[in-house]
Amino acid sequence: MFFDPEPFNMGLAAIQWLLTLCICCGIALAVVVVLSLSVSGVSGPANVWRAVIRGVRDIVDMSPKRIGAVASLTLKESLRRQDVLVGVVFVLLFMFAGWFLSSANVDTPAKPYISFVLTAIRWLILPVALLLSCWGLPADIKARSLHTVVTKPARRSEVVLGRMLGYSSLMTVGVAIMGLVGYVWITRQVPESAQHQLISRVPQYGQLTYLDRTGAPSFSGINVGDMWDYRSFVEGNTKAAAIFTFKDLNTNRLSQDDQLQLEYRFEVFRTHKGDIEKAVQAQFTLVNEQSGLRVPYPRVPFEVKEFADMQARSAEDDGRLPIITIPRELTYTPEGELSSKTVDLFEDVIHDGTLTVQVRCVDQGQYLGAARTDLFVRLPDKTFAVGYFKAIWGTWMMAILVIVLGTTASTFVKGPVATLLTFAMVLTGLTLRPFMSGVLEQYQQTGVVQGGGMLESAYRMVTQMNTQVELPGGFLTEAIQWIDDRMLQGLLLLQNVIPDFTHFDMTPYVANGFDVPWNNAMMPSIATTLAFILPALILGYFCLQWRELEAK
Amino acid sequence: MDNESVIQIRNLSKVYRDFWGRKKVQALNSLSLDVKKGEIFGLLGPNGSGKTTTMKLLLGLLFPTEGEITILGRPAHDVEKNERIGYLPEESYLYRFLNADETLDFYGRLFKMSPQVRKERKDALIEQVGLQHARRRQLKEYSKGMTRRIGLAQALINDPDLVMLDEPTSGLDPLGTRDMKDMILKLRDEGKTVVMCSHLLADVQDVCDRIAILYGGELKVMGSVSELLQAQDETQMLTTHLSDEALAEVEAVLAKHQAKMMKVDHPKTTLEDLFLRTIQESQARPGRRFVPGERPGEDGNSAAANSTDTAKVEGAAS
Amino acid sequence: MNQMSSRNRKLVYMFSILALLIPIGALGMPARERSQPGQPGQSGGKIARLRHEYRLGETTLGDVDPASATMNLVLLGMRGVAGTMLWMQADEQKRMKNWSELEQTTESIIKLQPRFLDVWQFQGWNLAYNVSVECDAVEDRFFWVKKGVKFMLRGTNQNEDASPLYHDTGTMMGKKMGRSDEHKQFRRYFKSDPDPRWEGQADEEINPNGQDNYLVAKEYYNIANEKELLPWVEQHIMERTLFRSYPARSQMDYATAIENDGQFDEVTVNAWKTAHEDWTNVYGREDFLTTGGGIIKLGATDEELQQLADEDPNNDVASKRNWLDRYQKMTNYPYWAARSKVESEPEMVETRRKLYEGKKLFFKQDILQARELLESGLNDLQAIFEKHPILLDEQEMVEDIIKSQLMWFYVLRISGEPNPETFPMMNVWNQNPALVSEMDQRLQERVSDGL
Repeated sequence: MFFDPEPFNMGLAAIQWLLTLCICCGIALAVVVVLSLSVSGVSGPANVWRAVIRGVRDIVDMSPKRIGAVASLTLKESLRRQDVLVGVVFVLLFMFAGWFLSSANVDTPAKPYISFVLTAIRWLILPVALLLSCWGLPADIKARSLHTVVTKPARRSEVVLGRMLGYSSLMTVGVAIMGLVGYVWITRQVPESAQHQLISRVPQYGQLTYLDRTGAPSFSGINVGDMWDYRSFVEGNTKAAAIFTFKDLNTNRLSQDDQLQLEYRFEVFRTHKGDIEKAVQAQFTLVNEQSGLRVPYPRVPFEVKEFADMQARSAEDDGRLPIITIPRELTYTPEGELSSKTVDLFEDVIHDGTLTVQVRCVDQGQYLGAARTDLFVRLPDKTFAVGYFKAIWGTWMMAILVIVLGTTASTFVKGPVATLLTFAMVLTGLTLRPFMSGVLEQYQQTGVVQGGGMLESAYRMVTQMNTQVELPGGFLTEAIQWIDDRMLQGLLLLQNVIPDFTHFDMTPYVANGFDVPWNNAMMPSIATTLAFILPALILGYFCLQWRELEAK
Repeated sequence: MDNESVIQIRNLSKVYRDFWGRKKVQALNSLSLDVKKGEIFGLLGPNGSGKTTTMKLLLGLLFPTEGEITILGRPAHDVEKNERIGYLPEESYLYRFLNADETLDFYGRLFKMSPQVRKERKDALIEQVGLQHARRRQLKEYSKGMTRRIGLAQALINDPDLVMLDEPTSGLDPLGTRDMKDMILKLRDEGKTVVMCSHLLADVQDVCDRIAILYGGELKVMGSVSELLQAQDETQMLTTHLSDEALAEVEAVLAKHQAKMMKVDHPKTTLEDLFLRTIQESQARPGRRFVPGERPGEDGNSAAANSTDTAKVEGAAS
Repeated sequence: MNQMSSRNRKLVYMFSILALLIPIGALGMPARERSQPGQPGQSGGKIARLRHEYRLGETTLGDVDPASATMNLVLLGMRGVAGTMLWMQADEQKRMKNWSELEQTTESIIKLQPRFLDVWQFQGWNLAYNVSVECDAVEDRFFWVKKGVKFMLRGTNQNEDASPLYHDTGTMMGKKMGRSDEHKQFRRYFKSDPDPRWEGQADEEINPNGQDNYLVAKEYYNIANEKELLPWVEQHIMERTLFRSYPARSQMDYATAIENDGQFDEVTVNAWKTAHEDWTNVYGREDFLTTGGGIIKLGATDEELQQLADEDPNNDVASKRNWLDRYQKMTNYPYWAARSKVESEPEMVETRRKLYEGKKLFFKQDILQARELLESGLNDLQAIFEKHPILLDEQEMVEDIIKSQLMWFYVLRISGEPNPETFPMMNVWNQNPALVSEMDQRLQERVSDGL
């Protein structure tokens, strides 16, 4: 529900990817050279060099025809082995889903249906992709049918890529069918009264700065004692304000509607009871920084509708929506003047695609809390299908990544181990990665992690020592810290190698009635999958190439 | 032309190691052999003698510990060589969920071959191996004989110059074996080189031009089948039926050199016999190259052993 | 064994199976019909009967939710782990003020643990108390309190005999709605819901008869008491004597609340009469087992005490009286008995009316009228309290009196009259100087603020 408005930096990601790839290749090469020296002596490095050259050739020279042959073989294999029976589970799930959803919250009826469908598809696709990709090659090797293939002019890189492609195409069909069925199911199952919730809102977020109570610019507002410092608060009836600056507004498009919609999600904090039957009020001031034009809007302050984001989203009850619609023609009375003036929103207020909105709280002693995503320009809505199928796309990307990882893992370990390994990667990428990033960010910025690394925290847990107490000095402590340090550095390297599976979950967007943004959600998911294809192919190729298929 | 080597193996050794790199089995020890273009070459040996290992090393499925392999002028690990090789694996390791058509089509697509050629070859091969009636059935429904046939068909899909057959006749009924042998001979007639390994010595004897017998990873015997099976120090006579008196007379006549000689030949031993002797000898005196004609003896005195065995051979021949 | 023929072996197996089937059947045969809870089952095996006797069967506890049962089956014993993770998630969602998702997580938790009373109590409380105060609009707050109440009601459906759940439901309807800052709105909304769905009527799910919140609370307290008597039910919320006083106390709360709303008529008198009846004739008649003095009745007369002592070989009358005193002090029994008695008299209701209207007029700045009413009311009170000094035992009463006195003095000051030497209820004034100054300050603030 709380989305990161920061766009994904593709260029930076690409550089980091390249760097990581080079480092990994370097490390791998070094290890192999050392190994070859120990195994075959001086001639080792030369052998390695030849193998690498051959590998590069094998990867560059791949023939689409042969890859296609392996891919279609893979596809046939999966179909004929009745792996598609998973579809039955899918159907069963949907037949009985009604049971679980019937008692769901009546105030946001569409959300559970959307969440359910997207989650169900994700968790059905995941094991199928996992098992398919992890068991295919090992079974092929075990039955020795792979021998017959690699004694043809098929390169092992082609086998790996062909397998990946075959599974991917199967999954593509699977995801597409499930996605379609899910879509039809949602649109039919969501009650009539909630059908209007099936939309894709398109928000454009701005930058947020603050003015303090004296009117001076400030980095943040006031913390009213919330543990969660997501929102910062501005004091009512003072000069304090939250300033949202929306840049690059497409005025040509927006002006066609002759209005601009702002949607908010502010929070209110009261320091005194006040009139409890009246909501705390706020007012916008639309500012043109260039010309200094300041237009208060609405002319009368509006009551802040808190937590109305989705609950109150009922079709008839538009008045309860937390939306402020600004018409093109704005009439206002400038400060210190008596007569009112009329200005054009798109001509006079928005300058060069930039709109500045100052938000003030009107009631004295009360506070208004705002975060960057709490006010956005609501661009024209898209249909629900747009957001929904983008989320399905995310699931598809995930399936492909799982297949790529699984196939690669299956080139060097047996089926069960490959499954475990890949599943562990998925789980790590899904649950532990955010935690790991947090720890590493802290480590990179401050050089230490609160509570210490693995050994230190284990030590603290066992001795029940809290994180503020200094460790006792001495050799043991130094040893612990030294090892922890190395481990964290290792983790720093490793964190780029574990895919971030959280990128693929776009359910929150769709379930909350938002479109899935290209920059923040689609691109990272695509980039993540793409980033792993080449390294996985290289790794898979060399593992299969250097593996003696017949070794007993 | 005839002397051109299709396969050259020089000092080839293969050691299987366990996970920790410790030596487990010495599968091949310093093997050197050549296979000439256009011949049918047989690799023989008991289980675990290294013949399959040799074949897999040739195909690049295994990597040699030492030594060099040149196959069709290229190193064994070069994938390009496979364009001109056909391989029939031991138990037809094919995809059991495909039917004959799909199998050949799939393998055909792995070669540089136009779809048109592929289709033609596919149809021709299916007919050649006699599977027209079963071309749409999945391989898992095939009998063992049918599997061997489709296996051979896939090995030939690229019209290879070198065909490698691992136990081509195993599991086939006598008729099937005959067909297979005919096909192998036909391949030679088409100018292809065939390398096969087999347990079925009679089959090898029938089709192979040259053989090598391996034991314990070492080459024990190599040579042309006809040469190897000739016993140079004996003479065999084939006569019409002789009565006891006649037999006595023959001896007399022979002594006088007056009988009509119908056929005088060097008697041939069977390959089975040669094989068994090779193995016995290798077990008795490990590490020695076996010399055909030399008989294994209890103490290694081959001269003494010769006379006793001659009688046997003569007995068997009569 | 080895010599045994195959057929003999099979026979041995068969007999072993039969021999094992007999005890299994005797132990595990399912009950055929549902007999009265608590009574040993008439049919079924030993386990079924025991399960029945100790009320461990799913169906004896309350409704069985098929979804919940399926979910537990699917989790294959991982329920504990799943439950813990959901609790953590719920905590996180609460921190992030993600109320709708918090509610859904709560739903999942109770699907996993429908018989775990703490879950119902904790999460119901969470919704009604912690979530509701986060909202700014009173309607929204009421909405979340209602959610908490409905949640508890579902808990009672699935746990039919869970006395604590009924009790907590009563507390949410009574005290949460009646005593929080928003009590005026809450009490109003309880009878006339702001949600357009109910078209100005009460929310049928929690108040089907459109009653006062304290009366509905009383109903639930009554059920809680009823269930608490069942031999297999325990409650650990509070001391049993206090626990069982809640229905009567809720009736008193109701009477007080309508007086605070300005209702002084037959209804008020009857409300107090019922309260007195509930307190003395229902609550006062109940048997309570004391920790050292055997069984007592809180409303026992001397004769009754004698009779109780006669029946109890371990305690004489003196001991009984001693323990009765202790328990009466703990529950403040005599005070509430007297209070409800006095309050149910029409004169007292009239006195209350005078003081109420006096205060109201005071804030309307109708000084003369206010003075008259306050003076008369305080005088009436004086007369009543002389008869029933015990009524001053409760702080609430004292505050009420001092507030009236302060207003009266204020009126006097405005009228330019000196403070009188003596005035009604002077002893109360003199005994609580700290309270007087504190309340004085509060009144000053209010007067300067609003008047």
